[in-house]
Amino acid sequence: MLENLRIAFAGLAANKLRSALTMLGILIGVAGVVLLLAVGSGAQVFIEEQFEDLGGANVIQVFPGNFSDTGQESTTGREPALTEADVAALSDPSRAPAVDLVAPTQFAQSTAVAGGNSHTPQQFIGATAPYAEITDLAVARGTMFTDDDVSGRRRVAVIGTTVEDALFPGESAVGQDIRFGRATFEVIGVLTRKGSGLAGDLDDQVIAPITAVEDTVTGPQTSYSTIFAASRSAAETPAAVQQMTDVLIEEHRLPSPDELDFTVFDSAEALAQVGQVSGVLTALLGAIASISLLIGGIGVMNIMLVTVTERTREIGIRKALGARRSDLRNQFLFEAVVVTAVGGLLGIALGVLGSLINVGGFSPVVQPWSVALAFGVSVVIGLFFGVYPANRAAKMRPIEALRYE
Amino acid sequence: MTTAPLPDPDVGLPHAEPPVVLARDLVMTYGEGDATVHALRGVSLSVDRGDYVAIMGSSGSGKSTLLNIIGCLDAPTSGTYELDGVDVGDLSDNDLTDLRNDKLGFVFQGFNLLRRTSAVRQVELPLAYAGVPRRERRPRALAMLEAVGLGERIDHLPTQLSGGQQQRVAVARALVTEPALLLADEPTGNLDSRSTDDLLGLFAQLNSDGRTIIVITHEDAVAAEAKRVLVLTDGEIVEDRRQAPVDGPPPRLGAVA
Ligand SMILES: Nc1ncnc2c1ncn2[C@@H]1O[C@H](COP(=O)(O)OP(=O)(O)O)[C@@H](O)[C@H]1O
Ligand SMILES: [Mg+2]
Repeated sequence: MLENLRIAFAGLAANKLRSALTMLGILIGVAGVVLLLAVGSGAQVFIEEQFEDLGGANVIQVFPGNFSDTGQESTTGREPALTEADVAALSDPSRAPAVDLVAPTQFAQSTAVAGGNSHTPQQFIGATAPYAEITDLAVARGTMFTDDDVSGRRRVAVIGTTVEDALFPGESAVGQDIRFGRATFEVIGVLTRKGSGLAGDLDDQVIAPITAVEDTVTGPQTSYSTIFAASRSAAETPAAVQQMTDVLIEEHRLPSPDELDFTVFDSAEALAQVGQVSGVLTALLGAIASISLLIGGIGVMNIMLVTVTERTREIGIRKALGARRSDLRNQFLFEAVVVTAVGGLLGIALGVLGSLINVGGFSPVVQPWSVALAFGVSVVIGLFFGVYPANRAAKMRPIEALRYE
Repeated sequence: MTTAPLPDPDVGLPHAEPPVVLARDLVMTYGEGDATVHALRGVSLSVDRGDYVAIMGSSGSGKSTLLNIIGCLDAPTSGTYELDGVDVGDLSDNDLTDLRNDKLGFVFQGFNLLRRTSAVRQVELPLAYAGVPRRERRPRALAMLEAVGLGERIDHLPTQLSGGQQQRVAVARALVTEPALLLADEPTGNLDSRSTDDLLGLFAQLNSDGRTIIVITHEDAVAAEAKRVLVLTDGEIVEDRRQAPVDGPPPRLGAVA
């Protein structure tokens, strides 16, 4: 057995270029598997981090209207709406005990002007004070607006750094005025930089008291854009979602829980859905890489068959000298497995090295299991694609092998 | 030629045993229909232990075919063949392989050395396949190379060796397992007269030590060294001439003594 391994190594060493080229096929395949799987799981981690940015696993959003409906009007005959009464009901600890914070929001669309500069923020949100806490926003400079600011309808705003840079290049925005149309807001705080994410530039936003936004930009609205809420803990999110749904069914006097005129959405659920999508993506990438690994394996078989044919005479001599079938089979099998195993190891090294490179804003994450899998698969490929040529060598009749020119 | 004494082959009393080679009605045909070639047309042959047989005949007369059957490398179309009392017709591929490794040493026409294997490794190979432990192989291979007169250049590849040296490697490889029967197909084919003479001296020595030798040749000088000469023509033995008794020394050593 050991002797056959030794002979196999000698055989490979005798044909270095060919061994190296065969190895290359496996190497590329394995590197591809490791790298693409790393990219896939890197993407997954990236997406998860994005959700963390949006406030983590206890953020719940309520939208007016039923997302699963095909756009029909609600059966209550009313335009679906989320109202102040809803917010009050959701904030009642006796009715929704798992809910910690509630903040209604109004999305606005307007261009901010300051001095000679103007800029349209990606997001302009009117909200109540808890919004910042729910969505994990913090000010780097200045202060966040308070409940007093909301009830006092004060025209104050907190802006992201992108907005600050656009309107006040080289200056601090805190204490300065910005205008939306004819309304003037005082900047009282600048948000901590968050960077870019799936939802775009997270620093390109303005938040202001919902009362002031309704007074000046959007005008009075029949419904909030969304209600944000936070559960007491991530574990209580499902309970909070259920309680909020029940409260709103009651508030909206809906005839049946099957016909909702609102949609409750929690980030854990959204994350699970996105996770599923990116899991599919990872599997797809893995499948593509596996095909290249398969092609590498067929390359191994091809080369091994050539090797066996080319070394027919050697096989005949060995048989004449006393090599049993198992000796020859093992010799050629070892050759194939050594090629694929070494190719596999080098491929893993290359894949791991390649995954150090940042792709499109996120870093691939090499999963230990993918490394183990890639190595295992490359050894199995050696065995699988080596067996046929090895058996052909083993079964050759010595005299025919010896006569072969 | 200077040869170190060879280890004794495992042979007992010459006449108490079955013949080493016992072939009956060997027929070998190649191809079919119009292309049929009758390489052997019913060859019967018995070779006793300790004999030294030269097989002669013109090219294409079936000499190699016969030797391949005797060497268990090929099976006859019909006829039976017993090696050392064992009917090889009943044996599996693996059993035949073990038998070759155990009882036979084969010096091929053109030597058939492995191209990318050093001289000493070539000689170690039959020992490796016989399951001889690694530590014992090297000294035995070196001793055998020494015995056939190749004490140096043992780490060279066949391409780096002269014809005579390659032949010595081939002979050492055939002898290293101490086979009872040594088969050689035109071993002096492309050799100069000195190498030929060295080899004949070695064969005579081996034979007087009790080893059975069957050698194919077309050279009268080589045939003259054997105890018995067979002549093949068209796949048939047309002459079977004894030149010296089986249990005596081979002619070369007999003449010296
Ligand atoms: N594998 C083969 N296929 C077809 N014909 C063969 C084969 N081997 C030998 N022969 C034929 O059988 C005959 C005897 O060949 P061989 O035993 O090699 O003769 P020798 O060794 O006496 O020159 C020749 O006519 C040769 O052409
Ligand atoms: Mg011949």
